[in-house]
Amino acid sequence: MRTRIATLMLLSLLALPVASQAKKVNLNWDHYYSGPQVVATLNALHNAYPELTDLTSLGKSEEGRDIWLLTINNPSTGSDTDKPGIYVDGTIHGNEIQATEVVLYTAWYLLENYESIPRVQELVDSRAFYMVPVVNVDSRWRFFEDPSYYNRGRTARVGYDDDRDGLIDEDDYEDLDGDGEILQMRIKDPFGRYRSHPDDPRIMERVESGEQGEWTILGREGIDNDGDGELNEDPVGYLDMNRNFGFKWQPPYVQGGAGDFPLSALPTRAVTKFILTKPNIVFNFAFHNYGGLWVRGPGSDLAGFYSPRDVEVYDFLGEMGEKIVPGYKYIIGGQDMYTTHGDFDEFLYSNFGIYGFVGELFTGSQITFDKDGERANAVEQQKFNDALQQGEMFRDWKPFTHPDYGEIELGGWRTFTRRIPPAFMIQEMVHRNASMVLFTAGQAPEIELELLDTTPIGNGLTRIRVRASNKNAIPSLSDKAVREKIIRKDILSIEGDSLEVLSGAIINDLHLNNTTPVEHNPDKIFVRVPSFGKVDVQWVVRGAGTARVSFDAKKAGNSFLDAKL
Amino acid sequence: MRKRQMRAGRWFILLASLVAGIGIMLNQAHAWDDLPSNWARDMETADPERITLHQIGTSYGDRPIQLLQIGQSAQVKPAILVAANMDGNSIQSASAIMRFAAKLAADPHSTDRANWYLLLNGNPDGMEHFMDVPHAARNTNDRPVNDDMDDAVDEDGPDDLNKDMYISQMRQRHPEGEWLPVEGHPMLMRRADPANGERGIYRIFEEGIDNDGDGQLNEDPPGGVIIGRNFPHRFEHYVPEHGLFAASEPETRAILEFAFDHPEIAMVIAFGNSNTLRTLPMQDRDAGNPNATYELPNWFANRIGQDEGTKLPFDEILKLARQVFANPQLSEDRVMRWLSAGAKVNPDRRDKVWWEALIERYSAAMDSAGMPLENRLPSEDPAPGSFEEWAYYQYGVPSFALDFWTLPVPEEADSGSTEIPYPEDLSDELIALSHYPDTKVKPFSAWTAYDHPTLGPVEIGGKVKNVEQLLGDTDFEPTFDFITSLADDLPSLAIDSVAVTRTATDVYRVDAWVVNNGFLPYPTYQGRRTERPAPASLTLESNGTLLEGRSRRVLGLLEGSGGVEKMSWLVNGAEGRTITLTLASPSAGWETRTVTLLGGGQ
Repeated sequence: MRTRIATLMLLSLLALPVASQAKKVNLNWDHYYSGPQVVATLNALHNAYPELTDLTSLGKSEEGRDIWLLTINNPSTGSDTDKPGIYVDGTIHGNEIQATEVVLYTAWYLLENYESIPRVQELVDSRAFYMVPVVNVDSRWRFFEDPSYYNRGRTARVGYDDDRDGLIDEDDYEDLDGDGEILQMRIKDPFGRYRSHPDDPRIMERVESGEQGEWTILGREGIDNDGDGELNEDPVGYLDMNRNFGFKWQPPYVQGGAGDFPLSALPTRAVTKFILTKPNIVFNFAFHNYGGLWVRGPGSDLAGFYSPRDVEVYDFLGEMGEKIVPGYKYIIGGQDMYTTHGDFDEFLYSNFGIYGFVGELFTGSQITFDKDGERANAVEQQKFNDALQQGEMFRDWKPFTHPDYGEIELGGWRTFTRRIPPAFMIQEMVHRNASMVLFTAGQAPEIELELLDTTPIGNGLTRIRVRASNKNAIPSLSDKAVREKIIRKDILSIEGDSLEVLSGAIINDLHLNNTTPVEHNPDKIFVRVPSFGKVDVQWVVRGAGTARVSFDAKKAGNSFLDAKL
Repeated sequence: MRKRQMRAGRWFILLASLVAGIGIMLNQAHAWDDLPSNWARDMETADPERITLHQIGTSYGDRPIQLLQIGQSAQVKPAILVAANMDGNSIQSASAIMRFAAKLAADPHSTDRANWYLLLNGNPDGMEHFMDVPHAARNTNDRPVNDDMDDAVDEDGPDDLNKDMYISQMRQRHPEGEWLPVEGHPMLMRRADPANGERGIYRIFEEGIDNDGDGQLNEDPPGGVIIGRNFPHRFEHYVPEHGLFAASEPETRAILEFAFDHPEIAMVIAFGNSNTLRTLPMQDRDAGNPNATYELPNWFANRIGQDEGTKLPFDEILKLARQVFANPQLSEDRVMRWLSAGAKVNPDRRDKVWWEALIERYSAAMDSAGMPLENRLPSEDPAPGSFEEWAYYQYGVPSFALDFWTLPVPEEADSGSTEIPYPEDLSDELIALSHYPDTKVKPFSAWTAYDHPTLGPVEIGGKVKNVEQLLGDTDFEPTFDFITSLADDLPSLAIDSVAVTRTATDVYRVDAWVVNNGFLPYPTYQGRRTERPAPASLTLESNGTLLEGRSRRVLGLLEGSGGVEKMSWLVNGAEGRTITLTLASPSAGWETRTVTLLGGGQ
């Protein structure tokens, strides 16, 4: 292993003469990482940077695989929970595989550049990063190991009677020709509604009414296992983990794939248990494919509205996201896409006060010559396929003898296409999306305390005025968290030997002396430090010496200053 | 150890009080080790062939969640899940289920029709705390919850300031007071009515002090979550005692997992504070309610030429949608989804038929037992996130909630009476309580002066918190008899008859009729919507060749009281051969029938 890494390092130095730093873990972003490769990569990162990382399992999946978490935190600058946390995960839908590469690359980039790029060091030293490259470990593992196709393996491996016949998962796909892929099946049929495209016979196009076709599409490779006259109608799995979370969860007859009850899947439960232990998380990215989108909630009308103060934060970051990844659109899931209930982002925002985006990784218009990026234009896609991938994206039709249908043909777009970009595009995809994570992490709250003044006001009393300010876009707490009492507010407190706190107040206008007094326990003032803003407070105290003013936040760290009276 | 004895002691009193038929006293402590567990284990030991004690989970506070199974596990028998006390404060239900278990155990025929799964206490932490002395009526589990979102958790609960072992009320003369004493009934208070020129005198608080000095009284009591609010149907977020999200609590998860792991459960009965055999649970929205109106989504409003924001009754929207999309089959559920109406919250109208019939039957049963339901005050409505509603709306089986006792309806005063009448706005509960016969537990206590540390001079007295739950006293038997009779109403599928007709040499037509002999349908209409339980199937096996019809056939919804479905096959086989027909279902019928290929026919 060591030798191989060294060799790769050498190769990489030759290939990239500009790179100034040798890498401790040499990773290439020209292929997709299989399940075991993901785990090996995480271990390599952890072994290379043991002081900056922790590698832990959040729990096991339905099939007993570990869900790995790589925590990046510099303990010499404080424990992770004392810093704002950024949670990044990928591939909760097992077939949306490239999300994993984005998470791995982000982790690798942060670690490899810690020494060489001051901004990276600053981020790692002042934030905690929680990286879960694969949530749906069972289906992503199988995507590489089992015969597959690009839409297979979205769900958790939880049994379900899709066809309502009282039997569970009894009719899945089969790789009939043993080529490792679940292709399309078509059969010659004078009554068929498809014919070969005149410009490219690999493509089937629908015939108009009154025209004669030549093919019927039978569906994906498989047989009628249960003899009910249907093909592949009850495949393994159904539970959509991104509909299984707890906020306004809806049962399966309202939200397909929701599962029997919230967090009934083991991975969703494991992730939630982890989130519950990290109240410092301020932002989450959940990477999916595809569409080229930064999606925020609400996912449905039932989820309620997002407060304007929070929307400002989303807008600021989302608009930047559109620039960092060209072609991406920043949208609202429930309004601009489709209704979802029980999804992860909604859950984190509404139950934990964590902002977040779903990052729908792009393909679409990248893999066609159609100028509008239309996926419907198969001819232009085939031209792209031929010109850039030497035709390897498509398995040309070939004859096969099916046990039920007899002579048929197998063919179609191959597994690592459609939703998944060709390997040569990975590098740019992972870097741009990781850059969005880094930009957002840079906008995590950083609270500065400033002593505005201390003024003797007679009778041995002193007025102390303090400002807590946030130079970044993400506030110390979401407005939602405050309104719904999800999270305790930040506390500005004052204490000192023989100090008596007579009053405390939030200052609404410093110059007009417009204040809102705290009626009880005035030594503690509960506040929220807004996006790019500040909160001013004042106390009137009796006593002398030093007063210590402390800021104590769940998501924005702790700090203090001392004021001489 | 001492704490444990105290705890067990309260259980003993609970049981003793039920035997004695008196109200529950809290100010006693007996050493009695682990009564309910021992009691359940003794039940098992006494009849191990028929009775099994299971622990299906553990509460947040590490107390066992116990389930007593009566009847041997069998592949071909339905089960009825009876679950008690999800709300933690329903002492009646926790004791009723123990008595019900004893009744079932004593009757060898009680499991003829179905096995019984008795969930003895769905909220053991809450129950335990409800018996705490002083009685603060806490019914939440042990999860710490920061109700007031300050920097401390569970720091300001009620306090028994006058040391009478109950939490009652405090009143304080105050310029902001909104309350007045009720004339002629000095322990009762009512709101002043400014429209009648009245001004309040008192402020009213729950008995307690401001433990954390934040200016609020009892705003962050110990615990926790009420399990009976934590189920995923009609769950309400942002109420601390409901939990952070549905099924967030280990108790809830244990119960859900047990239910989904046991598809033989054909009916659910909840013992608690609501009664859905008195009143059908109805909400004010969804297609099940004829009065509900919905705002049209903009795209649909535009499509049918209505203004955006138009509200229409559901039936009208459905009619319009079917017209516009030229699809008379367009389903109610589909349209409900357009309206973002979420899940169904009213019983399916076709399920109402059997539900309302059972409501009438229960009412008649209680009448003939001399305990007419109208003689007692209404029961509580099922709570949001309740177990009983979840069991129907999501688990999909007939589910009935039963309480056993509410306060008696107060008698009208004689017209010639010299008593001062109660004010009209005084609740029936308060009037009923003030009429309640003298028991050891007093619903009210006289107002007595107390010097409160932050409020200054106050009076402590008035109504004891949640005292109704301590007073219950009733005869369970008529309701128990009704419940056992429900086992006879379970859907019961059978192969009613089979006809074999020879259509040609060695060719036979086999017609089989499967009929539902039970009163209840299989599945319920809501169950069909929520895809539970799994459908029944009828399988034909023969050595011959099937010319028509697949071997295994899936049955649709079979109505109660004779709902029937016919299945036909054409079999090629020699005369005299036998074929078998097998009926299978998770919870409603199992049967194998062998028939011989014979018959005249054409």
